[in-house]
Amino acid sequence: MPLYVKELFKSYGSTVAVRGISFTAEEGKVFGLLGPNGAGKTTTLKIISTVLRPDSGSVFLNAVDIIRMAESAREFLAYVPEDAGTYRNLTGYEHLEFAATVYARNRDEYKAFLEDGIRIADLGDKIYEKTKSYSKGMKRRLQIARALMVKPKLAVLDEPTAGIDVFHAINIRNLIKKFANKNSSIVIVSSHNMFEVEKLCDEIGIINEGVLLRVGSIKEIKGDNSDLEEVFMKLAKGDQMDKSIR
Amino acid sequence: MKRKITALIKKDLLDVLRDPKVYIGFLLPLAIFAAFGFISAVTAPPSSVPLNVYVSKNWSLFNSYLYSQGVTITSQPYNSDAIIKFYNNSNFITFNVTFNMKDINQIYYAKAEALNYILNGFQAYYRNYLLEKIGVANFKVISNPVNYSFITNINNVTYSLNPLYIFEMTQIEEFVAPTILFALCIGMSEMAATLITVEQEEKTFEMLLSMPLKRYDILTSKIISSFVISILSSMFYLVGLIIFSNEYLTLLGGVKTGPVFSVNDLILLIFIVLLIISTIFSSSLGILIGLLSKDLRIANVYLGIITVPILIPTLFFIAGGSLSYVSGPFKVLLLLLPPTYAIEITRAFITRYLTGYWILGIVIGLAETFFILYIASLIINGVNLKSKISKEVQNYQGR
Ligand SMILES: Nc1ncnc2c1ncn2[C@@H]1O[C@H](COP(=O)(O)OP(=O)(O)OP(=O)(O)O)[C@@H](O)[C@H]1O
Ligand SMILES: [Mg+2]
Repeated sequence: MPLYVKELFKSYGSTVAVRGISFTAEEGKVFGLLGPNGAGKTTTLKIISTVLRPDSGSVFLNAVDIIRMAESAREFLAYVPEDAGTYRNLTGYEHLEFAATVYARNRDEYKAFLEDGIRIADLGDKIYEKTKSYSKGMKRRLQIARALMVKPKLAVLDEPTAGIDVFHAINIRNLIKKFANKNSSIVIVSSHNMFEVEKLCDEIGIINEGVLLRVGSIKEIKGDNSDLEEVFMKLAKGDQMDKSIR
Repeated sequence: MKRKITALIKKDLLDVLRDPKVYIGFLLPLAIFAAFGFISAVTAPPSSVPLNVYVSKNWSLFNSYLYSQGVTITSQPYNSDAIIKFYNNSNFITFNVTFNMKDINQIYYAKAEALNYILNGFQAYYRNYLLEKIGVANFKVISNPVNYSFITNINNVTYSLNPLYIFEMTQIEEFVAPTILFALCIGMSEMAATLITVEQEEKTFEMLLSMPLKRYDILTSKIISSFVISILSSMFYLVGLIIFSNEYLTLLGGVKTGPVFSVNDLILLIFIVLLIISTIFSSSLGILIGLLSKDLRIANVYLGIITVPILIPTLFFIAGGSLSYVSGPFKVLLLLLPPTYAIEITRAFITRYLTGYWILGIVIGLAETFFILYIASLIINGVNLKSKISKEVQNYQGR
């Protein structure tokens, strides 16, 4: 069952961050929200992961309205916030233990989650050290491992590879892709890196100033243009022209 | 060089002063000064107090001196403020003074001071009398013709001390106990607030909010964690206070009065309960602050505000105030603040007498703690409180 996002609106005081975003994300695929800083990516992802209530709009997964039935939806979703930190004095392993305890329904699942988490984080012996000794990228890997190890039906990752080196970024991209495929999960990521989106996502939505300008597969969106950057620049300009005309 | 320093300073000042909430913190000293001025006025000793004295023998010289000082001489020993017995050995006189008080408060303090003043005055008065009667030749003999020895009764507890010594003891006790309790309560609020604010800053709170955890469970775990920490640090406070009291209060004035605490001591037990209630009350305030603050600086502004209600009973008791001698709205205010009771009962370490306020203290402390936690649960559940804070609240998604 795909994820249906319908007509989301959200404003912070007088700033309208998201104005009528709608898209559908398919099972077993990675959906990428691509857009410049302040476009409304994080706001959209927070709404999808039930952390923030939209002013209006709905999100459906498995015929469940995630916004109104947030509590049951949280059972099958995992969210990694943009620059999420860690508990400084807990070890990486203790972080994984915590998440496994929260999500696991039995002992076997708990053990499987932990094993997977250690594998995904790929931190070696560092996993047993307090996270205050971690670099930014190590913390990020821990967070992604924490989210993916519980095999969520819906994984929401806000800029998953920000701060991660090339080697690990490739690694994590492959992990995310395989994860979606193998578990028939829906993965939603955000990024402003066109190159990354091209490598990682099956479908993308280009977002600017709270509006989704174009949704489709990479191929569809690229069309005759040589790369996504070109498409994006054209779309953004068109958007601005639209406004000045209005 | 100068330009760079100016730039550094400008950055700091702008970063701090641009948040309007910071200005609330500036108003704090004003509130504290106002509170302190009011408390000083309320707790000031009265300018005159009646002093009832029973004198065991009739001696017209002494009696007329007492009359001249405005002292009432009663015919019955009970209900008098002081019982004075005296013996004379030729021209030397020994006074045995028993001072009775029911409570430690500014009225008895004024009475004890007046009594000391009058008795010391009698030393001079009697010396002059002797000088006139027997002449300058015996000046050396009569330089100190009167000897005083004191006993102080506080309810059923007897100390072989001048009551002024007792007040001195309590003044130190009443400075030490409330000051440290104040620090403890503020520390607990701060700890509880940072327990949540750090999660907000690190975005781990967002992670928790997206997990299959009930909002109530997140709140309850914060409450329990901070209560555990509160109780732990209360225990350290307690051990410190017992060490202080048993070392200091038993030895002042060179007189050993026996240990202040024993293990199965009801006063100590009630004190522990009130102490824990004050600290959990403070930590629940801290939890509320944590939920309302997106960053530590704002949390600190709110923490500054809550120092005022904790400071009020602290200052009141340090200034020697007593619950039985205040009335009206100020008394109501004191009775509404849980730390009042924990501080008030420390007086019973010396008087060995429970005033009964502790029962109210337990009820009020628990009721207020529950009320604060109820508000916190509304906030974490995303209920829009119809006030300014609703703006901060909108970022928590309801169930
Ligand atoms: N807490 C907030 N209060 C007020 N405005 C906010 C808040 N959070 C976001 N905004 C505003 O909402 C808009 C969208 O922000 P959002 O964080 O969703 O963008 P983003 O696409 O994730 O950007 P980035 O790539 O920089 O992470 C921006 O204009 C931002 O200024
Ligand atoms: Mg963002």
